[in-house]
Amino acid sequence: MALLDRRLLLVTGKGGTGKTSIAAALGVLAARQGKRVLIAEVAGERLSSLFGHGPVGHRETVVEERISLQAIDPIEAAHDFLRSQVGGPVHRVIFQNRLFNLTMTAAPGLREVCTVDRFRDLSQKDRGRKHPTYDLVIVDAPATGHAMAMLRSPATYSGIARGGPIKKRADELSALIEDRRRTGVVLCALPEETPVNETLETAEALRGLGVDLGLVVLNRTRGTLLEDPEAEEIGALAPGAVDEASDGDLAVRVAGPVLVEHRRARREDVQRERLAAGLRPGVALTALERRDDEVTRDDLGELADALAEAAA
Amino acid sequence: MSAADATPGGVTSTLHLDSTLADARVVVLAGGGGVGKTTTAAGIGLGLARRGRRVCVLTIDPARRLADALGLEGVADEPVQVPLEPSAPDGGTVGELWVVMLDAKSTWDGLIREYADSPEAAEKVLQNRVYKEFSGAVAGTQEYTAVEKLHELLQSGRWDVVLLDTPPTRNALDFLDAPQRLHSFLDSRALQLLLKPASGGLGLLGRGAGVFTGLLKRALGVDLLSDLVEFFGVLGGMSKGFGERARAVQALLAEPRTVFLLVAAPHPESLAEAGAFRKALSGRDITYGGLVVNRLTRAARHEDEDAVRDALAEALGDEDVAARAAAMHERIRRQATHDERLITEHLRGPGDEPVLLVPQLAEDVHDVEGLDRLVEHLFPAAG
Repeated sequence: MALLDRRLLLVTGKGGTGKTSIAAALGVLAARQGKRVLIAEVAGERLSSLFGHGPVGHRETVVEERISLQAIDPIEAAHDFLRSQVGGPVHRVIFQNRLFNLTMTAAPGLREVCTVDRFRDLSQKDRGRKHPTYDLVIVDAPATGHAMAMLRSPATYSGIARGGPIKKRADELSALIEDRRRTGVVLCALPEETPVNETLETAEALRGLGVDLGLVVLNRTRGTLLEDPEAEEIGALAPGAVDEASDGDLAVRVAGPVLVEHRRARREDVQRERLAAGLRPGVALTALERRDDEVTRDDLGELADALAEAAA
Repeated sequence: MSAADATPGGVTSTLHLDSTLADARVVVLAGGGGVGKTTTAAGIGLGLARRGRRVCVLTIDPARRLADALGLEGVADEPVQVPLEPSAPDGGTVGELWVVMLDAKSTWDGLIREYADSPEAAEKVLQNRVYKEFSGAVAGTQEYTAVEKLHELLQSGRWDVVLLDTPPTRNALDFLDAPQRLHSFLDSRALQLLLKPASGGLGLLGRGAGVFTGLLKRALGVDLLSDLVEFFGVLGGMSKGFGERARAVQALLAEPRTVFLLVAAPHPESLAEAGAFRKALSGRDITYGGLVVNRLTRAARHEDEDAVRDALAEALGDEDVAARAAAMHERIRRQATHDERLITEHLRGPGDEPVLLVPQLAEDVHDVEGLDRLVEHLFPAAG
């Protein structure tokens, strides 16, 4: 199943791995293929400014042709859910009650279940006449730990609540999450030890949950142009420790930095190989080159190009 | 050290940990994920131990190889001593370096046992489904247990200084406010309402259960509600204990001998995060030490690629290798310039902010030897 032919994609990874840019680039790529896309954010709102739009909040908003955004607020999501369950007037009574807010904070997985229910609603093939329908919903999910809690929440909640509409819905959500034709996860990683460990652990955890890992994106890679002996020979020009700055003529001054960079790139290669070897066969892995500057809307097209093959 | 602590454009380190941390009893390191915070905490810890102090580093989630090297693998919640060789051939005074890995769940369990009215009450909470989820949950509780553990370590009197490597969080206030927030949560009026026995019944769940609880039951499932009532029933009884502890922790964080350091990487997002932290900290009664920027790319200054290629070709006698090395140097020179610009822009923000620049190291830090190399950059010798 091609990545973008599913209905729901969750993009997650350790903090600082470029989730938001990758979610946005996948959205741009899908829109280019003619799909109507909604990109949903869960922790905060950064996408609207990336698309040169004002804040959209918890409201589905078209920002470009075929691209809509929403910044999901878990509390609003809970209200959406309750409203659909108990009707407007009753909902208002509950909404005003402090006990409800307390319950929302304390009940295990309840906020997450309501957020996942937003994903379900957004990704439906038919949302009725009042709401737009999307071919693909891409979620810029929170960092791995929280995203996994979110994916587990329907099962967690279902185990705790023995009845009621949320339990019933939680079971539907589990079915959606585990359906690889409808749902896939994109994991973002960096070529460093801890992020690679975490990515491999998350890949296994997803397997345990029965969730399909559609793509792993290794972000911010930058290889070396030198062979080891060549780099060491250059490094030998520097008199002291290579990560200390040295005085002297130009060749001496560049020697240390070049060797430091070469070794950094080599460590990166090792981590990349470790990641490739640790993933199950069939899991797509693609690398994106490091960029110095913050990603802008103009860069998203380039990122989409870079992801096109892996997402096909 | 000559130009080692200067970036190509001349941003220099103005944060000197030796003086900033001279009297520190607590050092709190804050910053986003993936900026090398844990390694920095361990490095500062080792540096202080090398200066003769008894140090404990409280960490959240160290990289596995570093955890291995420090003897932490599989040890949660118990301080582990890192064996230190004397740093100088003549021996010198070496203090102690201990490391402890936070386990939020067991810290919580300990707290429940401490504050519960009876062992039976404690056991009841520990078995409660809502509690189990709550104590292991991601949001908020890790922040709380981190400061809680910090308090416990200081009380023991075994260490001169405790370093706290905080959980990566976007909002510094989450962490600072955790004790108070937990207290208010347990003390809230909604809770009182839930727990207050109504005409001898079981509060809102009793005979007088109103329309509202009926609706909640309908929407949420009744089993959960009774677990919630039980959970808050016991935890609410501990509210006074938590309240006192929250105040103690708050006071500890406000002490002048508690120094906050921010850790960042030279990425726009990371520096923006550090800026937000700084802003959040500025309105508070805390001692801010400064900003540590890790993994700074270093390159020779202002040199064009052709000049570098020619110089290397002459030194190596190989045009081809020289050309590729020069291309690589150009790449890192651009990045170094970029890193420097980011930091300069960041420092232009409001208020003076001492900054310590740590270059990209030639090797990853995954043992005490590697940490010692990092210490040279964290505590550069004067001169």
